[in-house]
Amino acid sequence: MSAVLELGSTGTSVESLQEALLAHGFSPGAVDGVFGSGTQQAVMAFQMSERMLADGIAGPRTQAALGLTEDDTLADATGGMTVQVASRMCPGAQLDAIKANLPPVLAALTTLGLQDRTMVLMAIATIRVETASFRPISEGLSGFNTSPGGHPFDLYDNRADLGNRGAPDGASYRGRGFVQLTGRNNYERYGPRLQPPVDLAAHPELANASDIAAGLLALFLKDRELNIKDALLHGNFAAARRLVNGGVHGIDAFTEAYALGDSLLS
Amino acid sequence: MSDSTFFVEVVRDDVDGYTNRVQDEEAGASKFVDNAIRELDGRLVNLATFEELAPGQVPPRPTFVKLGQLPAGRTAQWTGVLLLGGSNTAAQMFRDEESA
Repeated sequence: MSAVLELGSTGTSVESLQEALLAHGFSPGAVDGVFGSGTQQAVMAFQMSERMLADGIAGPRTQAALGLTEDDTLADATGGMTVQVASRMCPGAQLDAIKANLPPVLAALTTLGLQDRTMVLMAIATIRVETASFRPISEGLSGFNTSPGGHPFDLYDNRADLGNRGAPDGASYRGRGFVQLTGRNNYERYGPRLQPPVDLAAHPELANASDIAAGLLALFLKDRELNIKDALLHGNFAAARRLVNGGVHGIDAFTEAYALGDSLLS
Repeated sequence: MSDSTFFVEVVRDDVDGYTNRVQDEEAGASKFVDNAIRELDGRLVNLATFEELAPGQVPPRPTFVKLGQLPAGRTAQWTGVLLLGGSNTAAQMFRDEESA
């Protein structure tokens, strides 16, 4: 993996970066081997043109896009996400639940190239808020999904935005797993994308199997990776949370877990 | 849930152990219907639902396997999630062929 180049970096690698930026039409100013503000702005402009995260840091993906390296693998943070760290981030979870479920979660993130620090923290903080127990669970009854005197999840039955088509879709496709996958559309969309594919439309309860729930979490985050990273780059935890939840439910716990994990990850 | 159904708590580490427990239960004239993972007294267990059958009736022998390990030519009679060794595990069940 190539070294990360950022503001303050110096040397021949920076000089190569500046030459590559220039060759792609993004002038860093002087090609002097010093990563100053001109180089930073050129990197950001290049990243925006490539629809990448515009953080002004030339990491593996940016360097690969510039043709400086073939290896665009991001630094692996999964090794630092131990049971102990996850336990601190998710204080309501029992250790045996974390021991059972952390490995498939980290494996699923790695499979989809989400092993970097930001996405690992995002995943565990999301689990903290969505399940608390660190186990894949089914959504419970509440006033959000069930009307007074109505059958369970009746308020979901006709949610066209979820792709539901009337009873019993509300109950069948209620929230499940680590990310609380909800609605017929999502079950139909994500099941075939799992490796191996799973017919979640026919067997929605399988979304609560550990491996499958981990795969769904990773797929869900992968689809939103760029926007999540952009939000977190700017410290906008609410925006990051909204990308997963649709709202800001649990934002305080999410922010606390993310910040604590960030301080604990080596 | 009808009057003819009942629950059995099953705690096992693997599908073979779960299969044995269900086979034992069905030998007493009942038929496996479903499994749910529930918390009982602060611990998670499989809560299997069985339907009572007429005395002497025993359904074709069930076998549980992990999802994706159904033998060729077999049809899943049940698909769901079992708690095995502390992990939620996707599983399926098939039954021996009915005798002619």
